Amino acid sequence: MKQGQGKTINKHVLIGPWPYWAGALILGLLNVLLFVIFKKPWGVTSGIAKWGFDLWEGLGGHPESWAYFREINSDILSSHIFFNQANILNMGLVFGVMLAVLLSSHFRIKRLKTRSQLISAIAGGIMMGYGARLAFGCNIGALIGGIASQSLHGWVFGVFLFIGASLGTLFVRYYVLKKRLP
Amino acid sequence: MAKERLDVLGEVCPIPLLMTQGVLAKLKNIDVLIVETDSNQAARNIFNWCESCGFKFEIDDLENGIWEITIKKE
Repeated sequence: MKQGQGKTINKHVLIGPWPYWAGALILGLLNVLLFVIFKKPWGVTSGIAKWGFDLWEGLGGHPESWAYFREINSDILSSHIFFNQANILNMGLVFGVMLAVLLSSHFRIKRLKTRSQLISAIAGGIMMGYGARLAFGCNIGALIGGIASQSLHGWVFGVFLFIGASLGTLFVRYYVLKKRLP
Repeated sequence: MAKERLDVLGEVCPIPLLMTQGVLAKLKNIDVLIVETDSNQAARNIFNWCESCGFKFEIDDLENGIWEITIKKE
Protein backbone atom coordinates (compact mmCIF):
# COMPACT_ATOMS: atom_id res chain seq x y z
CA MET A 1 0.00 0.00 0.00
CA LYS A 2 1.20 3.49 -0.80
CA GLN A 3 0.93 6.93 0.74
CA GLY A 4 -0.29 5.78 4.09
CA GLN A 5 -3.37 4.24 2.58
CA GLY A 6 -2.57 0.96 4.28
CA LYS A 7 -3.70 2.32 7.61
CA THR A 8 -7.04 3.45 6.24
CA ILE A 9 -7.56 0.10 4.62
CA ASN A 10 -6.80 -1.86 7.77
CA LYS A 11 -8.97 0.36 9.85
CA HIS A 12 -11.92 0.71 7.55
CA VAL A 13 -12.25 -2.17 5.19
CA LEU A 14 -11.47 -5.08 7.38
CA ILE A 15 -9.40 -6.44 10.13
CA GLY A 16 -6.96 -8.16 7.85
CA PRO A 17 -7.04 -9.22 5.07
CA TRP A 18 -5.01 -12.33 5.61
CA PRO A 19 -2.54 -13.22 2.90
CA TYR A 20 -3.56 -16.10 0.65
CA TRP A 21 -0.63 -18.28 1.75
CA ALA A 22 -1.71 -18.04 5.42
CA GLY A 23 -5.25 -19.07 4.55
CA ALA A 24 -3.97 -21.92 2.36
CA LEU A 25 -1.66 -23.19 5.09
CA ILE A 26 -4.36 -23.15 7.76
CA LEU A 27 -6.96 -24.77 5.49
CA GLY A 28 -4.44 -27.44 4.48
CA LEU A 29 -3.58 -28.28 8.09
CA LEU A 30 -7.25 -28.34 9.14
CA ASN A 31 -8.05 -30.57 6.18
CA VAL A 32 -5.38 -33.08 7.28
CA LEU A 33 -6.72 -32.98 10.82
CA LEU A 34 -10.25 -33.53 9.56
CA PHE A 35 -9.14 -36.51 7.47
CA VAL A 36 -7.36 -38.06 10.46
CA ILE A 37 -10.44 -37.68 12.67
CA PHE A 38 -13.23 -38.62 10.23
CA LYS A 39 -11.25 -40.95 7.92
CA LYS A 40 -12.70 -39.23 4.87
CA PRO A 41 -12.21 -35.92 3.08
CA TRP A 42 -14.11 -32.75 3.89
CA GLY A 43 -17.54 -32.47 2.29
CA VAL A 44 -20.26 -29.87 2.49
CA THR A 45 -23.21 -30.72 0.31
CA SER A 46 -23.94 -34.25 1.53
CA GLY A 47 -25.29 -32.67 4.73
CA ILE A 48 -27.74 -30.64 2.68
CA ALA A 49 -28.66 -33.67 0.55
CA LYS A 50 -29.55 -35.40 3.82
CA TRP A 51 -32.02 -32.59 4.62
CA GLY A 52 -33.64 -33.06 1.23
CA PHE A 53 -33.70 -36.84 1.69
CA ASP A 54 -35.46 -36.57 5.08
CA LEU A 55 -37.82 -33.84 3.87
CA TRP A 56 -38.97 -35.90 0.88
CA GLU A 57 -39.29 -39.01 3.04
CA GLY A 58 -41.31 -37.02 5.59
CA LEU A 59 -43.66 -35.90 2.82
CA GLY A 60 -44.28 -39.55 1.96
CA GLY A 61 -41.78 -39.93 -0.88
CA HIS A 62 -39.30 -42.72 -1.37
CA PRO A 63 -35.93 -41.08 -2.03
CA GLU A 64 -34.14 -44.33 -1.07
CA SER A 65 -35.28 -45.73 -4.42
CA TRP A 66 -33.64 -42.89 -6.37
CA ALA A 67 -30.63 -43.91 -8.44
CA TYR A 68 -28.49 -41.21 -6.83
CA PHE A 69 -29.16 -42.23 -3.24
CA ARG A 70 -28.80 -45.94 -4.11
CA GLU A 71 -25.44 -45.25 -5.69
CA ILE A 72 -23.86 -43.12 -2.98
CA ASN A 73 -25.13 -45.49 -0.27
CA SER A 74 -23.67 -43.07 2.25
CA ASP A 75 -23.67 -43.65 5.98
CA ILE A 76 -24.92 -40.09 6.27
CA LEU A 77 -28.38 -41.14 5.05
CA SER A 78 -28.93 -43.40 8.05
CA SER A 79 -27.50 -40.87 10.49
CA HIS A 80 -29.22 -38.17 12.51
CA ILE A 81 -30.51 -35.26 10.39
CA PHE A 82 -28.54 -32.73 12.42
CA PHE A 83 -25.84 -34.62 14.29
CA ASN A 84 -23.83 -36.02 11.41
CA GLN A 85 -20.34 -35.25 10.21
CA ALA A 86 -21.23 -33.01 7.26
CA ASN A 87 -23.88 -31.03 9.09
CA ILE A 88 -21.80 -30.37 12.20
CA LEU A 89 -18.95 -29.13 10.01
CA ASN A 90 -21.35 -26.96 8.01
CA MET A 91 -22.75 -25.40 11.17
CA GLY A 92 -19.20 -24.83 12.40
CA LEU A 93 -18.42 -23.07 9.13
CA VAL A 94 -21.46 -20.81 9.44
CA PHE A 95 -20.76 -19.96 13.09
CA GLY A 96 -17.06 -19.41 12.36
CA VAL A 97 -17.83 -17.00 9.55
CA MET A 98 -20.37 -15.21 11.72
CA LEU A 99 -17.84 -14.89 14.53
CA ALA A 100 -15.27 -13.41 12.16
CA VAL A 101 -17.79 -10.92 10.79
CA LEU A 102 -18.97 -9.93 14.26
CA LEU A 103 -15.39 -9.50 15.51
CA SER A 104 -14.59 -7.17 12.64
CA SER A 105 -17.94 -5.45 13.31
CA HIS A 106 -19.10 -5.92 9.74
CA PHE A 107 -22.20 -7.91 10.60
CA ARG A 108 -25.21 -6.81 8.67
CA ILE A 109 -28.41 -8.44 7.45
CA LYS A 110 -28.40 -7.87 3.73
CA ARG A 111 -31.63 -7.30 1.93
CA LEU A 112 -32.33 -8.24 -1.63
CA LYS A 113 -33.14 -5.09 -3.50
CA THR A 114 -34.54 -6.30 -6.75
CA ARG A 115 -36.56 -9.18 -8.08
CA SER A 116 -33.72 -10.14 -10.39
CA GLN A 117 -31.40 -10.61 -7.39
CA LEU A 118 -33.97 -12.95 -5.84
CA ILE A 119 -34.41 -14.92 -9.05
CA SER A 120 -30.69 -15.22 -9.70
CA ALA A 121 -30.08 -16.32 -6.08
CA ILE A 122 -32.70 -19.08 -6.31
CA ALA A 123 -31.63 -20.17 -9.81
CA GLY A 124 -27.97 -20.20 -8.77
CA GLY A 125 -28.75 -22.27 -5.68
CA ILE A 126 -30.71 -24.83 -7.67
CA MET A 127 -28.03 -25.14 -10.35
CA MET A 128 -25.21 -25.46 -7.82
CA GLY A 129 -27.13 -27.96 -5.69
CA TYR A 130 -28.14 -30.10 -8.65
CA GLY A 131 -24.64 -29.91 -10.13
CA ALA A 132 -23.06 -30.92 -6.84
CA ARG A 133 -25.26 -34.04 -6.72
CA LEU A 134 -24.41 -34.99 -10.32
CA ALA A 135 -20.69 -34.53 -9.61
CA PHE A 136 -20.84 -36.32 -6.21
CA GLY A 137 -19.70 -33.22 -4.39
CA CYS A 138 -19.04 -29.52 -4.69
CA ASN A 139 -15.75 -27.69 -5.06
CA ILE A 140 -14.86 -28.83 -1.54
CA GLY A 141 -15.85 -32.51 -1.65
CA ALA A 142 -15.16 -33.19 -5.33
CA LEU A 143 -12.34 -30.76 -6.17
CA ILE A 144 -10.26 -30.24 -3.01
CA GLY A 145 -11.09 -33.59 -1.41
CA GLY A 146 -10.84 -35.43 -4.73
CA ILE A 147 -7.47 -34.07 -5.75
CA ALA A 148 -6.01 -34.35 -2.25
CA SER A 149 -7.01 -38.02 -2.08
CA GLN A 150 -5.48 -38.76 -5.52
CA SER A 151 -8.82 -39.41 -7.19
CA LEU A 152 -9.05 -38.75 -10.93
CA HIS A 153 -12.57 -37.34 -10.55
CA GLY A 154 -11.18 -34.31 -8.71
CA TRP A 155 -9.07 -33.36 -11.73
CA VAL A 156 -11.96 -33.94 -14.15
CA PHE A 157 -14.14 -31.78 -11.90
CA GLY A 158 -11.41 -29.11 -11.90
CA VAL A 159 -11.20 -28.96 -15.71
CA PHE A 160 -14.95 -28.56 -16.10
CA LEU A 161 -15.09 -26.11 -13.19
CA PHE A 162 -12.58 -23.97 -15.06
CA ILE A 163 -14.64 -24.13 -18.27
CA GLY A 164 -17.88 -23.38 -16.42
CA ALA A 165 -16.39 -20.51 -14.43
CA SER A 166 -14.93 -18.98 -17.61
CA LEU A 167 -18.31 -19.13 -19.37
CA GLY A 168 -19.98 -17.72 -16.26
CA THR A 169 -17.53 -14.82 -16.18
CA LEU A 170 -18.15 -14.03 -19.85
CA PHE A 171 -21.88 -14.10 -19.22
CA VAL A 172 -21.64 -11.78 -16.17
CA ARG A 173 -19.42 -9.38 -18.12
CA TYR A 174 -21.90 -9.32 -20.99
CA TYR A 175 -24.85 -8.89 -18.61
CA VAL A 176 -23.24 -5.98 -16.78
CA LEU A 177 -22.09 -4.18 -19.92
CA LYS A 178 -25.33 -4.59 -21.87
CA LYS A 179 -28.05 -4.55 -19.25
CA ARG A 180 -26.89 -2.79 -16.15
CA LEU A 181 -24.86 0.24 -17.05
CA PRO A 182 -26.69 3.57 -17.00
CA MET B 1 -16.53 19.03 -11.01
CA ALA B 2 -18.92 16.35 -12.24
CA LYS B 3 -19.93 13.84 -9.62
CA GLU B 4 -21.77 10.57 -10.04
CA ARG B 5 -23.05 8.01 -7.54
CA LEU B 6 -23.15 4.27 -8.09
CA ASP B 7 -25.27 2.15 -5.79
CA VAL B 8 -24.28 -1.52 -5.91
CA LEU B 9 -25.72 -2.53 -2.54
CA GLY B 10 -26.78 -6.15 -2.52
CA GLU B 11 -24.61 -7.01 -5.51
CA VAL B 12 -21.89 -9.61 -5.11
CA CYS B 13 -18.52 -10.00 -6.81
CA PRO B 14 -17.62 -9.33 -9.51
CA ILE B 15 -20.58 -7.07 -10.37
CA PRO B 16 -19.57 -4.04 -8.23
CA LEU B 17 -16.10 -3.91 -9.81
CA LEU B 18 -17.42 -4.44 -13.36
CA MET B 19 -20.05 -1.73 -12.84
CA THR B 20 -17.43 0.67 -11.48
CA GLN B 21 -15.12 0.02 -14.43
CA GLY B 22 -18.01 0.28 -16.86
CA VAL B 23 -19.35 3.56 -15.46
CA LEU B 24 -15.91 5.17 -15.45
CA ALA B 25 -15.29 4.03 -19.03
CA LYS B 26 -18.69 5.13 -20.28
CA LEU B 27 -19.14 8.46 -18.52
CA LYS B 28 -15.92 10.12 -19.53
CA ASN B 29 -16.93 13.59 -18.32
CA ILE B 30 -17.15 12.71 -14.62
CA ASP B 31 -14.30 13.47 -12.24
CA VAL B 32 -15.59 11.83 -9.08
CA LEU B 33 -17.45 8.54 -8.72
CA ILE B 34 -18.89 7.50 -5.38
CA VAL B 35 -19.52 3.75 -5.12
CA GLU B 36 -21.59 2.29 -2.32
CA THR B 37 -21.21 -1.43 -1.66
CA ASP B 38 -22.00 -3.89 1.13
CA SER B 39 -19.48 -6.50 0.04
CA ASN B 40 -16.05 -6.17 1.63
CA GLN B 41 -14.43 -8.28 -1.10
CA ALA B 42 -15.94 -5.95 -3.70
CA ALA B 43 -14.60 -2.93 -1.82
CA ARG B 44 -11.15 -4.52 -1.84
CA ASN B 45 -11.39 -5.39 -5.55
CA ILE B 46 -12.36 -1.83 -6.37
CA PHE B 47 -9.55 -0.16 -4.45
CA ASN B 48 -6.97 -2.65 -5.74
CA TRP B 49 -8.10 -1.80 -9.24
CA CYS B 50 -7.96 1.96 -8.47
CA GLU B 51 -4.41 1.56 -7.21
CA SER B 52 -3.39 -0.28 -10.37
CA CYS B 53 -4.94 2.49 -12.50
CA GLY B 54 -3.44 5.27 -10.40
CA PHE B 55 -6.79 6.75 -9.39
CA LYS B 56 -7.03 8.42 -6.01
CA PHE B 57 -9.66 7.01 -3.70
CA GLU B 58 -11.04 7.28 -0.21
CA ILE B 59 -13.00 4.73 1.75
CA ASP B 60 -15.59 5.50 4.40
CA ASP B 61 -17.52 2.93 6.32
CA LEU B 62 -20.96 4.42 6.60
CA GLU B 63 -22.24 1.76 8.97
CA ASN B 64 -21.52 -1.88 9.79
CA GLY B 65 -20.81 -3.66 6.54
CA ILE B 66 -21.34 -0.75 4.12
CA TRP B 67 -18.49 1.02 2.38
CA GLU B 68 -18.50 4.18 0.33
CA ILE B 69 -15.57 4.47 -2.05
CA THR B 70 -14.89 7.89 -3.52
CA ILE B 71 -12.81 7.59 -6.69
CA LYS B 72 -11.15 10.66 -8.15
CA LYS B 73 -10.15 10.47 -11.77
CA GLU B 74 -7.05 12.52 -12.40
